[in-house]
Amino acid sequence: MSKGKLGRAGFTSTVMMAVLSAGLLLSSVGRAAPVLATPADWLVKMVSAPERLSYQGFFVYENAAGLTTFRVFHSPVDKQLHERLIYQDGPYQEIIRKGDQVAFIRADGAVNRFYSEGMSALVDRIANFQDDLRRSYRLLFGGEDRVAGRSALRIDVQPRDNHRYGFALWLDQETGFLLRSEMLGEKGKILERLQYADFELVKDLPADKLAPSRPVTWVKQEPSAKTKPTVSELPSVWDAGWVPAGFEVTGYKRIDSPVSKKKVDSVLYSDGISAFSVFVEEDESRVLGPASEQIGATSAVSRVFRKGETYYNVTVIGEVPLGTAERVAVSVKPQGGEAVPASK
Amino acid sequence: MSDTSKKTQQHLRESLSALMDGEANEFEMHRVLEQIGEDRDLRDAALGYQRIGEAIRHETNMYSDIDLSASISAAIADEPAPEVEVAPAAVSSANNQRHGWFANLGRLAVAASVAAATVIGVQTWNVANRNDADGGSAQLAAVTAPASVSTQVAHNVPSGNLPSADMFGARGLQAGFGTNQPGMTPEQMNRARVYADQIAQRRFRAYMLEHAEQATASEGHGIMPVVRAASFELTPGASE
Repeated sequence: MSKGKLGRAGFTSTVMMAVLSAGLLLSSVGRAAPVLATPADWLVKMVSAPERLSYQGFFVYENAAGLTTFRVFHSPVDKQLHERLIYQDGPYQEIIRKGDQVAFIRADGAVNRFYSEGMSALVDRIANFQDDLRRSYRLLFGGEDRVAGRSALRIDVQPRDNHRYGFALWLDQETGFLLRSEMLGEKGKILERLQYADFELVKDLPADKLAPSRPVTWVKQEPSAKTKPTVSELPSVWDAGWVPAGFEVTGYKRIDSPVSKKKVDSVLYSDGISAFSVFVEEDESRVLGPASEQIGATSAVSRVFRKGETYYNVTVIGEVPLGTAERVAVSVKPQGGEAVPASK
Repeated sequence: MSDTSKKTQQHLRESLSALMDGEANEFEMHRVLEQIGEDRDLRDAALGYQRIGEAIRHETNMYSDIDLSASISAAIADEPAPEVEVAPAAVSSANNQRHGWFANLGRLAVAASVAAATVIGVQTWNVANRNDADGGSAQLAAVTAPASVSTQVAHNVPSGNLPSADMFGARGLQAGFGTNQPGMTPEQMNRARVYADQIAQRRFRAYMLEHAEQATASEGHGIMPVVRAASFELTPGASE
């Protein structure tokens, strides 16, 4: 990263030397691998890989809904991640990512845009990434393997309690890129799997490879607070009484509800690898009840609470066991008062 | 002969009900799949059943246009159908109580479904909790097959199963509606719960995309959460 900056800033021979020696040092150390001594080191490298690498390839993604093949183009442009995924099966669909914004171009031509507002950045978290991970998971080397024709290193991420899933991760030995990933449920059952079949590093990815096939009107993103929200910034109407150890608030936003005309408060909790969101929304329908659903690796739970004359719908969704999501959901209560069970 | 066919008809409708509740066993599923292509009444029943949900909420919904019979016909093309006559014991008394597709349905019914859903939700947690403690998995079946719970609810609200305030820090819904709704039959409860489930499903898919978007922005997994959420959309072509 600093390499590029230096190169642009001054092209003197001194700088060149510095860059070259730094590069040599890095690569030789990387080969011998004494620096990345622990699995956690490798995971840190893995997390930073998308910001460092331009690549293209094919991967398959499999979960309870089936198996899908994607073609992927990826490149960091001006410190923003640009990515384009093209569905290779079924109707033509694309997912385009530009920085924090994601657009889903559907088979019928409709374009859905997702817009993040005031999400905390990963950068903030990365400093504590290793410690956070170790608190919640055992990290183990799982030996060498081969994925997509490349040498890979397997890392086993084992949960320390029943409130999160385990992972087996295969990282590219050269770059740390995640070539294959399996999410493991109870008794090692595979909940979802991602695996590259073809992975190719490219120096300069042509811009048209990253361009959506249909015009996408990107929402202009306001630079908003990139700091981790403190408890006082959380929505004032409610509290999450219980979250599993190791999960911390990593994002908060107030969005237009995807299901009604109301605003919905949403808070993202993450333990470094797994994440779940809690949504609290005023419920106008009065016909909604508590519900639970296991959607592949994702658990979804909703509960209704009453505060005064107002009903609230609390929904917990994320890649945690259903029981955990249930427990979080029932622990949510309006601030400064007992949740009154909704009854009509 | 006509007696037999009447009986078969009733069984079929019960099976269809179970199928649409997601509570049908394999035998029931095959029975419906085999018959629905030829049985116009059955097909009408299925479609009408779906439209009730729409009527209740006074709006069109994404389910109302689904031609069930077409997709089912396609499904049975390669499905070997079992013998219709061999009724296993598993087609239980709970199923026998389901009939009367177009009985009065109103807000009360939907409200009552809340009670049914509560019991199921709470049960799920209790089961998961037990597993935490015992490490056993024998109870897991109950999570995926909460069948017939709702039929008990109307008669007998198992409030003893509800979590206490100190267990969770907040109380879930009390399953008290069942007793407050005189005249509520088990099959009405059942149907009402299906509508509530459909609404819940829709909400969950919508929220799942939101969650995916947030997770994409903050996790190291890149865009995968969006791919995950997209793979479970109910109708990939739909947009709001």
